[in-house]
Amino acid sequence: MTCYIYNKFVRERRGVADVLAVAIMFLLVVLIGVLLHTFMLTPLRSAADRQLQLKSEYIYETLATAWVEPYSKSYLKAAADNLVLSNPTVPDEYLRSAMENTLDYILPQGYAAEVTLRLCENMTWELIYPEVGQPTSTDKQFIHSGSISIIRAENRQPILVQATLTLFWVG
Amino acid sequence: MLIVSAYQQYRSSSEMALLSDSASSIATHLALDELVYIDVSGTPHPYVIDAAKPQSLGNFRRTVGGDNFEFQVSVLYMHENECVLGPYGPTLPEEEMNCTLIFAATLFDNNRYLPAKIKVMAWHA
Repeated sequence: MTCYIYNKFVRERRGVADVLAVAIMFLLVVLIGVLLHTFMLTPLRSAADRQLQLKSEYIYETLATAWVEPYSKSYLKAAADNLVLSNPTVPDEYLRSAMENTLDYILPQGYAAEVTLRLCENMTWELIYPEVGQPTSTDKQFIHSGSISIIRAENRQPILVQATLTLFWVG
Repeated sequence: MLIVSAYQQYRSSSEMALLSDSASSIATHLALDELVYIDVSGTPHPYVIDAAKPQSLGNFRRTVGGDNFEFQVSVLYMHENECVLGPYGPTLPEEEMNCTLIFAATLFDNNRYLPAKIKVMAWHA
């Protein structure tokens, strides 16, 4: 009788342990599956970010090399002229309109660009297209910057203007 | 089943990421080297595409990171309406995974520097 009770007790304990082991294994499988599903898009997102960084560089270089027609001057050079010179070649209003048209054509869909030229703290030239306001610190931004050289007619001294292009998502 | 499906999807997203990076590499090589406008003094102008060069591009197969890729290239630009040069290169095989990358560039055409877009479609050869 004692032997029977002991065997039954052991069998029941083993049964509970088996069920627990199977349940834990099942939970582990579900957890691994969920984790794989969660992180599987990470390489693709990183590749998309790398592509957007490249696009911001190309947009900057396009503005630095393409001309504002009918003037034989690049967009960034014309903007730097407007910042530094008292009588720039391309009127500011015309330049802004032409740059907006060009950005409208070359920007990736759903993205906005902020073009900033800075000579010093108080001397900046800025354009955001489309007009959605400045990007917030939480927005993912793709930034490319460089410098534009301008020569003043009066003293023939080159002046370096810092130019920055920021590409950000607007939806 | 869950793990196998998740792993397969992970593999396919990694392959797409590789294809995207390879397309970027091909596009960069085109914009900075093969299609670049070279002026009369022999100075190359990076990021400026010579309008005559895409059609004379002979080889549309590249090796990136040990993998072979084929690509098709088109140049789009605004001249009153949108104009397209191309597409140049082989046609995309049916049901082949591909990556299409469109990026900005400057097109040198008839002594004008026009804002343009380069479209590169790449796939595994």
